[in-house]
Amino acid sequence: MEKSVSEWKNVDLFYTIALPFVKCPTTAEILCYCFNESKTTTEEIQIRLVICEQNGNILVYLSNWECITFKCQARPDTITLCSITSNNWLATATPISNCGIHIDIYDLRKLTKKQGAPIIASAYFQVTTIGFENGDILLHSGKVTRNFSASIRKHTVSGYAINGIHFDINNLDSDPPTQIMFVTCIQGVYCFVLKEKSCIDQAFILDNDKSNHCSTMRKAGDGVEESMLVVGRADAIYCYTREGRGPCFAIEGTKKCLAWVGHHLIVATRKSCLKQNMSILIVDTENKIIVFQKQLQELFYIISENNFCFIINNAHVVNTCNVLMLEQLNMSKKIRRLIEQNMYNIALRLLHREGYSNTPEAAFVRFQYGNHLLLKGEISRAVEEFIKTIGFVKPYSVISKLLHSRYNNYLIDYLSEWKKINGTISNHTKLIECCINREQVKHKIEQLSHGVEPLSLTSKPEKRNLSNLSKIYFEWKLQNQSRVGEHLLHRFLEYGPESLLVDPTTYLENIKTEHLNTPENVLLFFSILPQQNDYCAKMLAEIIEKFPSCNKKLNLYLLVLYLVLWRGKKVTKNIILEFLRKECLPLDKVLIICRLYSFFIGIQETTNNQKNETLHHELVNKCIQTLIENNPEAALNFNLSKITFLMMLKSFCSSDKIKALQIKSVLRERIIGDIVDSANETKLIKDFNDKITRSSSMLSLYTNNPIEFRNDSCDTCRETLNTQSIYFLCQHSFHKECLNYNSTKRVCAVCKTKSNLGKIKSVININSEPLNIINVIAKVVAIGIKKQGSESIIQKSVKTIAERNYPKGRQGKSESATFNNLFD
Amino acid sequence: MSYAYLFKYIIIGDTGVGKSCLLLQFTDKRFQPVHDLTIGVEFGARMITIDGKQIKLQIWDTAGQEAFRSITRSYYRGAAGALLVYDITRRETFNHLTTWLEDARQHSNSNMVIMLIGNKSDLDSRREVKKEEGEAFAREHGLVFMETSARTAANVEEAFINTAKEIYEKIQEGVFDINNEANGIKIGQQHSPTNPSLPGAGGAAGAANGGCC
Repeated sequence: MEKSVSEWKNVDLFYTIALPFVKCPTTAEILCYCFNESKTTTEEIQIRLVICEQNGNILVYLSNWECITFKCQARPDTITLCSITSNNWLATATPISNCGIHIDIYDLRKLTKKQGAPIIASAYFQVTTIGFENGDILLHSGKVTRNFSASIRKHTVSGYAINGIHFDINNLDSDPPTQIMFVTCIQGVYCFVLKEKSCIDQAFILDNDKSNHCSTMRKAGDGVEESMLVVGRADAIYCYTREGRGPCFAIEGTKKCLAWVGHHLIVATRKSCLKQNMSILIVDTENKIIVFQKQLQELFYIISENNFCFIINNAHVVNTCNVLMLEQLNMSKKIRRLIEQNMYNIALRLLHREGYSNTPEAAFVRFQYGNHLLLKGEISRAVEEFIKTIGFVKPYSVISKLLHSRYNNYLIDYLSEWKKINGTISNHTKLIECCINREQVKHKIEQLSHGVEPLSLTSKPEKRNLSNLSKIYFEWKLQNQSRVGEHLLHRFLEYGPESLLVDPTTYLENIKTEHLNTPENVLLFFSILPQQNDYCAKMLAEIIEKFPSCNKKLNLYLLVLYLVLWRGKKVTKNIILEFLRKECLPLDKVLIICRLYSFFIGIQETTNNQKNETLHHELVNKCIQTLIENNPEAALNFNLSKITFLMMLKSFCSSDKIKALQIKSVLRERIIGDIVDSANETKLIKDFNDKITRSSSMLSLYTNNPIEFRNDSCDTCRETLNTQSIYFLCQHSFHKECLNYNSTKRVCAVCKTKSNLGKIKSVININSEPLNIINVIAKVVAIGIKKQGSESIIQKSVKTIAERNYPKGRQGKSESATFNNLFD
Repeated sequence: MSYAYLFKYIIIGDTGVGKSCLLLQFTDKRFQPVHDLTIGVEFGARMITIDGKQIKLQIWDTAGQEAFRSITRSYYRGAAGALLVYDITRRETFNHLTTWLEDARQHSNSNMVIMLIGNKSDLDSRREVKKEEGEAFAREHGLVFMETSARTAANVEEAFINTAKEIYEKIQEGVFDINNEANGIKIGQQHSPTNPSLPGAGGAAGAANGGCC
């Protein structure tokens, strides 16, 4: 591909169709050819192509590619030039060697298969050196008579060979019609204003410094104000108006032929390196895009007429030529291909050109274009395109893309335009109002941003501004304008750290003030205050205190904050435990959080609370049971597993049929039971303490005051103690033999009996045996305290032990036995 | 439409400075934010009035890329005015002005009026070339200077019209040979008869003598 061609955008919007049924002579057989370049005539016969063959035949191809062949006027030499007029007259020029030139005019309107076309006029111009190769032209203007030789004028244009003559006759704008003739030579482009009698009025050199390869005309119309001569050169294709140079299209290469069809310039170029290789390009000059490219082995010429274009190229098969018809893709395919290449602008221009500007198809392209621009960040242009889709594309499709606060203005623009076109609909009006309010907020933020944004650490932001900014944020949060809120939060995030450094008190106070009114969003703000955990904890504690029914997330977050602070030794465990006791938090979450922060005391505390809760539930259940028993008809409505005690209580109390008094007895029993239990326990403890004191003093007495005793007789046999004897502290004495001293247990036989009796007595009169009581208490404490019903904890424990030690039968047997204290 | 004079302009400058946008703003009074690359030379025309005379401005908008410089050079000759454009937000486009100016002086007629234009003045926040620098460059090289914005249309009309006024003044002073179309000036049918020098068939040297053989 040539360098200049690669600069063009490229998308294939054309394709070729082979016409195998059309037979053309080979290049070698063709002397000259012509086709009708002007608009479709109203003539009955439509001529597509005329070819003059070397053997003297003239081949006329009709619009259906039917070929009519007839012999040309017998001349000694062959035709070198032919041309067809808009009224289907065919002019042929046959030079006669060293004599002159014959011009014959055939009327192709009278063309028949049998007789061909008749010659209606002829001329002979006697001149020796005339010819295009010499830069001369012959000009005839006016009526064509049978012999019009006399009215032909010869003009010398240039010293170089002529390679193109084109006429531009403007019948509309001027009277008499302006007749312009463009002539291109190998070197030089000329423009002539013609006047009557084949004379030239004015002549202008349009260009004379470059080598011209070929030329064509671009006729006025289709948005083109004036006709232009199009000249192909090695470096580019240059256009000329009668006033001079016009535009230029940079396409390099040797130009074989040019054609202009509609808006498209068709260029056949031959690469300098490959002489046999031709390249066909179609350029949409308006959109600056190459819409077709094809390599051909050998191209002969291009026929262009109105919207059709045919490429005639030499075939590989001898004696035939290939004819290819260039066809445009249909509009929908064109648009699809352009969209695929992101050429939305061009797609829209094409639609506009074809009169589809205000159609759903155009709206669809605009919508796609808008999306594309939105992705590229060109919001303004995107919305311009979106606005143009109103009436075709559902507003939701656009609005959903513009909901972000930074697109607020654009959304307002879109909605306003929508409103203008479709009238007022409440939803849209509401949305516009929201957008306007949001815009006001944004405006305020912009105004305040200078205050929030500290230029340096030494300059303090305005407290008032900070406060206002917070207010705006929370006002909008209240209105569920989360996106504006986010925007403001981002503002805080952006400028927060600096403001915090400069004036932490103001900053934190502002946040606190606002959140004390609306605590829902406080957690969002904590993310920007990672270094202020202690302050956050205090703030959160205050908020929770003020809003006890607030979201449990706040409590959990506070627990986390406490634990963080606890690990930093800024908070004691008691505070956390107190907090856990006070707040009823979900057990699982508390346990997880405590475990995460290795707060095992909390885990233990929570577990204990859970046990107490079980006791509490027993009471609740009892209460409910009582109510149900008393109100069997109401009880049917309750599902105990799904409602709480308080709810049930409330329900009962609010019911006329059910009296709250019915549960009074349960509650009173419980409360009185608790009071009695505690009073008994207090009394017991007091008695125990007294007895401990007494025992202690007795022990002290024994220690400090040793007793003196001397028994004369054995307490077993009552005989005199004159052999080996044993004396116990209990003042009993025995013969060693009497006591059976060999046993391992050296106990007093008298006291041993008394001791067994004393144990039985202690069960009957526990209050009188302090030592045993202490022993029991010690055992109870060792196994853990657990309240059971209204029975005293200690009494119950004692009873349990007694039952274990003394089964019923034996207990009854020893009820009458007496027990004496050893120390009494 | 008839005119008293036809002035031909050429717009030159680095690629992307906004030459095509200036032309579009002047001829169509619209701004196209995304303009495809100019590949070759684009063309526009508009009628203006100076001193009560209709003047047609034909403008060649050239490609800024180096690859198309030879095509651009072929358009210098035949232009009465040139708009040498740089982008105030890109310093390098200002630095290349000397090269452009040398090229223009070398290939154009000596009387060509050159207007130096600092485009994209609406993008003041991204400015890299001060206005004073542009003024200094223009002063140093004998150019007329103006900052424009094709987006907002600021000074666009003025740039084209002031150039036309300069050319018109030069015509009045007799600096331009108006019979030589290579100067980029063409006299139209509306031209006042006070100026006898009408173009004739002599434009095509030695060609089309009109005589019949």
